[in-house]
Amino acid sequence: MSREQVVQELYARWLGAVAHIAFAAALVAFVLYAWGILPPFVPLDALPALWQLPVGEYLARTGAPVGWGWVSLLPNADYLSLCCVALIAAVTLVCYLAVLPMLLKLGERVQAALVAAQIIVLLVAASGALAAGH
Amino acid sequence: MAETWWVWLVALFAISFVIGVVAVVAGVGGGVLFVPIVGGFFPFHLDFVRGVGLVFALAGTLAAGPSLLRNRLASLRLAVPLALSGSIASFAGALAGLALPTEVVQTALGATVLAIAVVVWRTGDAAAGTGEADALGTILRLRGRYEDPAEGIAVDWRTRRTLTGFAAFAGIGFLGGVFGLGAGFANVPVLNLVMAAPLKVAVGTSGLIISIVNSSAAWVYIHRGALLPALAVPAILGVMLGSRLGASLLARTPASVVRRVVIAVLLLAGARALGRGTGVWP
Repeated sequence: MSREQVVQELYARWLGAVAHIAFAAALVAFVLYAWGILPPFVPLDALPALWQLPVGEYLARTGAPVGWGWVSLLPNADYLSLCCVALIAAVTLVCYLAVLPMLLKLGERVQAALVAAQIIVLLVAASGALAAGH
Repeated sequence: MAETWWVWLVALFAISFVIGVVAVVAGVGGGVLFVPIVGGFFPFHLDFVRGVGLVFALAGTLAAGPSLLRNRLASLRLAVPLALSGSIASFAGALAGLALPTEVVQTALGATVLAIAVVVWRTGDAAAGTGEADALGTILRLRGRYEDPAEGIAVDWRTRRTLTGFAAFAGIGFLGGVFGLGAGFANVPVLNLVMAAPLKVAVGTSGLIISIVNSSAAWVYIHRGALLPALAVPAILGVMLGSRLGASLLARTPASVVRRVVIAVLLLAGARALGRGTGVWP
């Protein structure tokens, strides 16, 4: 197996495993939300009056937080569900973190530098440092 | 009104399922159908539709990624530099999209979707490109080999016009971030026709690139409160189930017929978005 295939296979393994976990978690959290097993921050029957609003107005009406503020609302079913959707957005970051040591071990310096740069971009995006303002 | 939430969520699941089937058979990304259709014909505000659209495209490509990588129909080595360019631009695009007035985004979306319909129509029979590797492609070792079981041959490939490819992916990423699209419709022609990657590798690598690029833009929508899980999860489930059915129908369905249907849907959805944005079709 070539160096490229070794890295590609490692990425595929991590992608398969982490994506499955994230999708399963999103499904379970949504069932808890839709079936009313856990209480939501914004009730589902209030959504039809809210989802037609621009996001700024939605936030003003509901008092929903921006940035990482939603973490404090995690016991609520809708934010537990959002947390699982965020897991889906984090799958690529986990895969990149998994292949970086392998690229360095194989001496693939250019690819390792590009992967490291992508990890920084994803971490900046996930941090909310540039996006959380409103 | 209060009891209608589940009707819309079931309808969202159903349309996501149908888009999942059609997108696989027609060879276009699902996001390009999802945003204009749901934005045009469902009661959800475009801010939320774009957020869901990104996660919709992300979920489909994440699910397909492992098998594409194992079959070497997607090249991680090729995806890494292009996705880096695309994800920085996509992040900026998502910030810009949420800062612009809805009418402006709606109008631009309509114009873009109509342009995409033309691109899909014109690139329907794109052939694999060939050519000499350029200096940047050589430095980055953007080359590979895949075995085509349908043809029974092994294809060695290398990229050309790599810098142009970077610029194109930055532009595509920006538009994807603004409109919440996966942008596979544009990735494939750039990889195939501009950079000379074989068509099958271009299609597979495009999916991998979308999974990386949309990850950065999705965080913008999450942090801005523009990602409603009540909409995202039914859409994700719908597209994943639909994609599986689409993959099994792929061999039996005449792709040319489906492609014509997709072009017709894009024209309708694009006209609807343009009409809403300009106030002609409110």
